[in-house]
Amino acid sequence: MSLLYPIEASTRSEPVQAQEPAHFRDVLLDRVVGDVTAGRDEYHLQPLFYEPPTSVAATAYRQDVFRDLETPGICDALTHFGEGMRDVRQCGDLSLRLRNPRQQDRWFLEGVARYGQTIERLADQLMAAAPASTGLQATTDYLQDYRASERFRAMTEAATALIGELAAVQHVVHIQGSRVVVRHYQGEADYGARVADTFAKFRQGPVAPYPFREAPSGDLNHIEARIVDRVAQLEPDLFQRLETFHRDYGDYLPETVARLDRESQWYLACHEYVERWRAARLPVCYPTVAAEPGPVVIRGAFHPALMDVMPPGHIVCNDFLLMGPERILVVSGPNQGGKTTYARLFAVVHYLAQLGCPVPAEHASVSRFDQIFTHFEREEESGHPESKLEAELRRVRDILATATEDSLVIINEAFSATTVRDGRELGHRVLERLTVLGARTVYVTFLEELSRLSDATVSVVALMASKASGTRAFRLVRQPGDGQAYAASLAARHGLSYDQIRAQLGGMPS
Amino acid sequence: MNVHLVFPARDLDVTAPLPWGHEAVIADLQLPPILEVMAGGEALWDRVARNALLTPLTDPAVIRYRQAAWGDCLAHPEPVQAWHTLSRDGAAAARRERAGLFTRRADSILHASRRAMGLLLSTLRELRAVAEAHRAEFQSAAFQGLTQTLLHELDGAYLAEVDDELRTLAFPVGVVMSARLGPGLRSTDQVVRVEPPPPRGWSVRRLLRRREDAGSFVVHPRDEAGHRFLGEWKNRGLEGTARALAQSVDHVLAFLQALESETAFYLAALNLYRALVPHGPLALPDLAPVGSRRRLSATHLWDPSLALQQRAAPVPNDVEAHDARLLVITGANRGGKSTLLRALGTAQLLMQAGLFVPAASWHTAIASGVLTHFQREEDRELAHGKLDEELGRLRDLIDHLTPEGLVLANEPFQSTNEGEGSAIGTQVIGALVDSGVHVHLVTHLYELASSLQSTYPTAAFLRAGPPDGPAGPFVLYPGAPEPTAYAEPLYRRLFGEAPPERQPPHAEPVRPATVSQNPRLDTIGVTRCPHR
Repeated sequence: MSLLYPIEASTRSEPVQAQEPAHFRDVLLDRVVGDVTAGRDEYHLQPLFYEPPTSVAATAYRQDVFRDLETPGICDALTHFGEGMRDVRQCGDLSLRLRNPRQQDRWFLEGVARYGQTIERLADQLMAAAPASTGLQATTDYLQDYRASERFRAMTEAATALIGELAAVQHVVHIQGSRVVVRHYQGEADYGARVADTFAKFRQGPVAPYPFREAPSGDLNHIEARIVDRVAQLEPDLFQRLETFHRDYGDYLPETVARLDRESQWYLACHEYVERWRAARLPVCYPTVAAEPGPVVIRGAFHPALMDVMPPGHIVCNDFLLMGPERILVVSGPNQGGKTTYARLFAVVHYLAQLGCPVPAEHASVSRFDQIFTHFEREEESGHPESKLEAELRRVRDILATATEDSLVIINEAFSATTVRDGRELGHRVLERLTVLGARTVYVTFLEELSRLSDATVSVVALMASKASGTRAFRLVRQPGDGQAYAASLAARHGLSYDQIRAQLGGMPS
Repeated sequence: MNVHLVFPARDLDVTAPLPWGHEAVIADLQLPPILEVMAGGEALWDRVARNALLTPLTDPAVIRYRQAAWGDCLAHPEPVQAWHTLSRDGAAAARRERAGLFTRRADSILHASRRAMGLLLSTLRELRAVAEAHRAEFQSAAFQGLTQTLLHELDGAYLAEVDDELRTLAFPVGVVMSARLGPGLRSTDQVVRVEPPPPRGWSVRRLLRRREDAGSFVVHPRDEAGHRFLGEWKNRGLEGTARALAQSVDHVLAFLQALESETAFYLAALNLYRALVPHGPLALPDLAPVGSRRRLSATHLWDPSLALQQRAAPVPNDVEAHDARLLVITGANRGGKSTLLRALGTAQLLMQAGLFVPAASWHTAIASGVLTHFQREEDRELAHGKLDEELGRLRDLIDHLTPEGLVLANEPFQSTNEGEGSAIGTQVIGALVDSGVHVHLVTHLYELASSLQSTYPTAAFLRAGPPDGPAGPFVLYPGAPEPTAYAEPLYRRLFGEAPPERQPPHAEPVRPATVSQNPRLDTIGVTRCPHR
């Protein structure tokens, strides 16, 4: 059973590719994946992003799980499960790492008890939340069977009972100089409570507790070990059963649960990332991903990596439209107008859509792709102009040789190192080849005329807002637009128009 | 055990952050001379004064509670001063006892806390003695409550019990602790226990043998690590007891600190009262709950900060506005507009601190908050390109506004040309007033003032005349805005003749008056205009 692949596909479940795809860096998917997986290193989630499912069915399978996650009960259930399993792993680590055998036994017992609680809670919460997705329904069914199983029942009941008995053992230590006496507790009165009572009158409100140093975790020292030995002598039977428990249940974690832990973390990581968009009032939608090539309609999309570098209010959303014979978006316009981000965004939306994730757009209808090819000018390649041009041509040739009708091609500012004339000539030829190939392409260039090549090419222009308002627009449209007036928008830009203030302060009767 | 002199049901928190915009309020209303007089050079008094003036109370019951307590302090300052000195010195001595304590060891904390508590007990006895001597003098709920607390909570029997407990905390016969084994078998939940007495008839030798039977071991004398650990382990057990005692010390210290700061509030008010009383009338205000009243009525209102700076009585003004949600002051430069605006703001703050106001009488509603937006020096110097910055400041201010809040605005929107400034100003001021915010505005912008006047005919409009005008210097009178304060002299200068006579649309300036001649300046009411 897998949360990532439907049953029929799960024979080839785990992605084999452990290498980051070459285009990740160019389109900043490396940053996106880095942000998504931040804080979850222990799950090694990155490879799950490196190979999007090839079947549209798997994409839909995942989208359904993401929809379920929007139900708070389900999201909480998986979050608690992850926290619980992290706890369980820590106990297991201690039971392996510590030297004192009694301590190993005790941490093992702790891990099993917490594991039992974690499974029970997940099963209960998923049952109560009644997920709609096939993936989470299968998980719920599995958990019901698992927790009813004889071995699980016996193990968790024994663990709970043992922990209760150990916790009930209270002993007394009397320290007088270097002599230490250990005996059973016989109901002696609490001295600190008596002191607190006497001074209760002076209590005025909560006062921060004194921060005493925490006892270190880890190995017991020789004095602690002797105290534990004394207590074990006081309770010989209990400590014998503790040892037996560890021996009996040595390797208790089923592979399915371990896998569920990792895969649910993949969903939670993506879900939390998407929740950040929602919290910033940025668009999110579930894309439709067609199996066969067709039109591309993406409205109101933004590149999620922008959230690292600018406040959400500054992020500008853009559209992509490829209808009928159109295959190639030729992007031109002033520098710093957001052209590169636009080109990256095309790949990012497609990639996330095929991964089965919600995408950063108001609407997205796309088709499946087989591969993504990118060519981006890189700083470190800024060597000799001639060798640079050669390297570029090689790269583009390789792309044209490998790409298919189903591929995405992103070419950013190719041939800018050579003369305008050469650049135009080379650009023409490459675009002609791409037109014949029919791959969906975003071609960023400073030569706007390249867009008028054929029916397959569409011109997209980066707009600058008028100089007066001084802000960059980052808005790209299929035709040029107008700027904005300075004076008229001045108050509004500060949120100081009559309507804005009224809306903010609410309608007090005047 | 609570002080509760400043609030009926809670302590004064001198560390509480001051509300957003307080720096601007201090600078714009020129509060530093007032704060300086109140503080009298004491850092704590300065904090208390700032806190009280800049965190306006909104509950009329709390304001009245303070007004009554202030009356007691004015009538009987000696016990208030005595409590203040005792609590300050007592707390300082106890704090010194713990000052050298850098360790977190429970036994050290226990030791220092025992000594500190000993000192605190004697301070408590002295505080009680003051209460005993002055118990009959107080009229206010605040001071009666404190007297009761000191007399009843700290009776002699209780103080003796506390003394006893401090002696037994030395643990003369070793430490007995109970413990449990935590998840890693490390001892947890250590609790110090009272050792039960040995069974009757047992000798000490037999008692020791019983212990050995129960299972004991001896840590070797050269086992340094073992002994160190044992000490730590014992300390962990003593944590609960040490914490109980240390917190008790904290509690008593907190009580003394509260007493020190809360008496400081009234003593600071007394400082201010004594400094201001030579310069003009001081009155307890007649207040009304938030949003309950639109009328603002003040007689002989004066600016205390100006009085302290000039060491002389400033020119007082009367203000009578039927609807003070919008109060617009226009008129000549150096005509006393800003001074009146400051006096209005300072009186509002003093009222909402629960104190006297600088006026013969003062009636108004409580504001939910007080913020200022004054033109800054830097705006003046670089008028162009600063509009952006000013609008940014306004944006921040609006983000911190509440309905029924009061905004004092002095020459806003001057950082651009009059047309643009007036256009923006009309939108902003209109939106604020319509949202239930009260605005007291000083402006030069004729277009702004006159557009506000046509939109809000019931609003109050005051005008400052030129220093040589008929009303006399710094006296403001009700009057509609005029196109420009300089039109007449300019016209005269350019054309060499007087312009045609023009009647102000509303009231006429009347008899000039100054404080020294006629302290009961006649009230000049704004003519009530028909409602829209």
